[in-house]
Amino acid sequence: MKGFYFISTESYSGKTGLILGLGLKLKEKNYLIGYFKPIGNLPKRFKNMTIDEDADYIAQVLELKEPLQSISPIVLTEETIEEILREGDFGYEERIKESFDHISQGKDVVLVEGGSGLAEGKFIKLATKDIPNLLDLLVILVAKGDNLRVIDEILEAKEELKERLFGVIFNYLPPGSEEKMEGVVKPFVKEKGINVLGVIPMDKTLLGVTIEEIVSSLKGKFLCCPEKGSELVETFMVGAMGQEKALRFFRRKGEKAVITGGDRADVQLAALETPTKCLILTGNLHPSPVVVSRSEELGVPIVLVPDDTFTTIEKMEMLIGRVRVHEPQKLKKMKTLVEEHVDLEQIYQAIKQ
Amino acid sequence: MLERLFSPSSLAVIGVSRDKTKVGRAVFDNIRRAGFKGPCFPVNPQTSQIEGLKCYPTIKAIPHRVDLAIIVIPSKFVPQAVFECGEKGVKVVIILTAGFREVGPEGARREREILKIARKFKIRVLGPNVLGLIDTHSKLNVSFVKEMPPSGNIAFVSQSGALGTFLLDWAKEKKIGFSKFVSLGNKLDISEIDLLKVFSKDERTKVIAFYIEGINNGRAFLKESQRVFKKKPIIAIKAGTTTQGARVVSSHTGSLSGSLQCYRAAFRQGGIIQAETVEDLVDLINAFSLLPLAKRKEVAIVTNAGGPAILATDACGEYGLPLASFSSRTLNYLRKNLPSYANIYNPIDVLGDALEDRYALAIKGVLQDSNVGSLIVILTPQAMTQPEGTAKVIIELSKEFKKPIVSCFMGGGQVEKGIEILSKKGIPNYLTPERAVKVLKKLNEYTFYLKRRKKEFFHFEVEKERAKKIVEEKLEERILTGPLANELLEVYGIKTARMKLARTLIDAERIVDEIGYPVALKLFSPDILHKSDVGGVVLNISSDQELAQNYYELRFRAKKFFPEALIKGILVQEMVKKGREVIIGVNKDPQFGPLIMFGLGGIYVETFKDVSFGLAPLSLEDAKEMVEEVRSSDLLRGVRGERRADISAIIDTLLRVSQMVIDLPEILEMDINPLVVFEEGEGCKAIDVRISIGGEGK
Repeated sequence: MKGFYFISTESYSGKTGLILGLGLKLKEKNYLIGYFKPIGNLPKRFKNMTIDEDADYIAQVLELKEPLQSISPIVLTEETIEEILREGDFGYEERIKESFDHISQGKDVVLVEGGSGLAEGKFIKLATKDIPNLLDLLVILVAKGDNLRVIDEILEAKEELKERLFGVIFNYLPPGSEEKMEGVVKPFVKEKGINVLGVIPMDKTLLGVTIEEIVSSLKGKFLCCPEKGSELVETFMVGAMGQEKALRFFRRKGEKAVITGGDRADVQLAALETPTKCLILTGNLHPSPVVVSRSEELGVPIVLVPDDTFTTIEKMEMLIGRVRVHEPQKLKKMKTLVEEHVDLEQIYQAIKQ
Repeated sequence: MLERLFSPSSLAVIGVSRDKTKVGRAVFDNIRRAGFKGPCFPVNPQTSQIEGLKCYPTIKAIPHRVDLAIIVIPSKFVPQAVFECGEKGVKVVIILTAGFREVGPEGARREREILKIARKFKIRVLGPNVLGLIDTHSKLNVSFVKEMPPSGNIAFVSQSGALGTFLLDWAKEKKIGFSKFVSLGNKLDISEIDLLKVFSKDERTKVIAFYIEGINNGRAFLKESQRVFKKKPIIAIKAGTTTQGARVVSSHTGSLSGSLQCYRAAFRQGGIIQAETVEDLVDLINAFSLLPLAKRKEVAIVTNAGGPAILATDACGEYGLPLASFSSRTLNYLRKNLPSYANIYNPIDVLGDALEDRYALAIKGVLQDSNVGSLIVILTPQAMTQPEGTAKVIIELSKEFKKPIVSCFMGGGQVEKGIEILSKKGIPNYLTPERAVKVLKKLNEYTFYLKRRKKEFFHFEVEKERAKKIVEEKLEERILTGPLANELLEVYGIKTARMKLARTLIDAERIVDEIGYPVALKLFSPDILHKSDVGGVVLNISSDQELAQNYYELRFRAKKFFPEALIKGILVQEMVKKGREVIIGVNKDPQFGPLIMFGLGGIYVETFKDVSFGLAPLSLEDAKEMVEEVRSSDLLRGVRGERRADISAIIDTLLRVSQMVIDLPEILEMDINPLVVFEEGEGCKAIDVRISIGGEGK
């Protein structure tokens, strides 16, 4: 059995997504795989238990049989953190070791999800940097982007983890940075004896949110095309101008939601002339029936929401941009990204050894 | 086949009620009252007789051929009715019923269903949601307009039924005759384009008029009008020309109203006379239906009062109509025949005491002058004035000379009878001189369109495949700018200022070695739209020291002001020699396709909005007109000792851009700003280019 420990230079670097993408790929290759999250940080109540939300989701996607208490033995909540600080730790090290032994039984490979930064978990004597030794894991460091701070973090990780650092995956590389990555950053990192396992470009699909999620978060309702609810919206634009300007404006972005008032038929139709995923009409103002007809004809859902435009924008900002990979389209995308941008051969080789 | 819409040999009305207040019944009664000669079968499964006529349960039960079916039943039953029409072999159907796309998706689905059935049986459909159709010659009134308008030579097509009822009612009172009237409704099938085709062949129609809110296939409309206007004048009023108006059009029709510039360009290129107001529309359809065309622009004015003549002269100036200079023969004639204190120069003042005979002398005098194209006769009621006699004089002389004459009998009760005589005999009268002049101006505009040379379209040999590849490469980013955009222009034979992208200062120095000083440095970021507004451009750099200093300064500014923006690097570009700066833009209109804009750079475009527009594909003449149309084009011809700029290079560039946007439908917008135009014979060069590309909506 081989265990890979995914840690990152900072939060929201895409560890969960990578584990899912790689997990699906390994499953496809008929490897027996397991997943382990020693310290859960996304608590959620389920059947009188506190479980980690991501761990729950990953277990479902990868169709794991083990109980969630083993997959994610410790889930930190506000209360448990306070208790630990007051009372001291609860012998977590043992629990983790036991659980890991349990879930790695009969597996070819276990993907372990770690923390962000090397120090995370130090207060319970389980710092990110100590777990690999405890469970005998190879570390895959997920680095977000290509800035100088990331390079510092990588060098620091190498110093701390030494041979346990299996390699780095640069994730969310912004468009236009490819040349700098290939020409400068990658050679520099390699020169320091650090293996680069992959460079994954930023993908807008992953930042998207489904129209259904928008409807439920904004307490809206579909005026047409509810069957398109599972489609992803990658960004949003707000329309409050005349038709010509609206047309020019909306052309700039694809795969977007357009937020405007129900009484702005010109803006709504201009949006429909450009690649638009859905119309979000604010203030519960019903649009003209001809616009609904047109929208339905084109298969673009109209969502009517009660909030005013400003509040709607605020809520949409919260929704879009935080990568959560809980939609089938995103899973598929993650798997493709891993296939196309990660050196899988190295991983297969490591599993063999 | 569409001719049957206007002259069917038999009709069926599906949905005739016994109740006289119902629409179906009103239409049925209107058809009979108007005097339609052929059989008209009522269809209603709930009754066996209407007004003594046998009523049929379905259209299929009629034991006779039916040319045209009119459907006036609730919308949910319409698809079935159309299906039965198909089975019966009816080829043209008018659906008066409302309750389709204008009420929501359910209605829209019903429309689609009808269209499918119609296509299957090859049925043409007018409507749904229409007021109906009238043909005064075949005595057909398939509408809920109660009374037929007088018979005449104007065909009027309206996207608004209500505007139709107004115009027809008003026309009756003014004795303006119509050949046909059609209300278009939801335009499920039959559109303006079909009707243009029919009316162009209709011998009884002399003038075609449209009330337009939006056209679904603008390019086809433009193409058809380019053919038809040569046969007969097309007059159109476009509603929804302001932002607020456009919004109302959108919520009314469910389609974008289209920009005013786009329609103006389409009308000009399609030879269509644009009416700006409903009053204009009425004035113009009347004038075009009555008057001959002038052989020349020059106008003569005959008046019995100074004030209105000055106003008329002002209006001529305003609308660009020159006043005719009379020949010496005419002047001698006038001098001999008019009182010595009368003004014999244009405008001719026959004085307040002029009786009909003095008007006759003056009018005859100017009409026989070959320098005169058209005539305005102004009459104000004074003690001795003879409005009726003068009217008769005008009518007599109008028969003798085939020149357009408009009258301006100004007043109320005192001139009323004179105006009546005039309008009975086909001389349009206008209450104010401005309206009279405007009509003559539009008549002249039509003459100008007719005289325009045949459109010449050029085709430049280009490497289209390479162009397509460039566009495809950036399709996902939706923006094409910098070196690649310049390359695309070069593929189309448009010269551009050399530029390369530098990621580091060392890169920049290498580029300078290649292109030489002086150079310009420009921030290159797809996220920064107006880079010169934010200090992202430095010009005329001519030493290594300046290069280094400005390179870092630009990098610093980008970080400071646009921390989120993706900075791809700094563009190093050759400084081109001084010339006159112009802008060429493109904006793709959903209905008409690429609209090309031209204007002089800087304040002329931004502050004075001095721009012209043309729809692609541009002909050579279109491009020339676009350059001439901007008021600031004098600056290109050279003012204050400046030499003439290379105008033919601008025209060439416009034509190349036109070909590019037709070849590459992915181009949604383009800005060549500036295009530097050198002196005549030296060409021009594009400096900055920004192109929006991508797919349209579904």
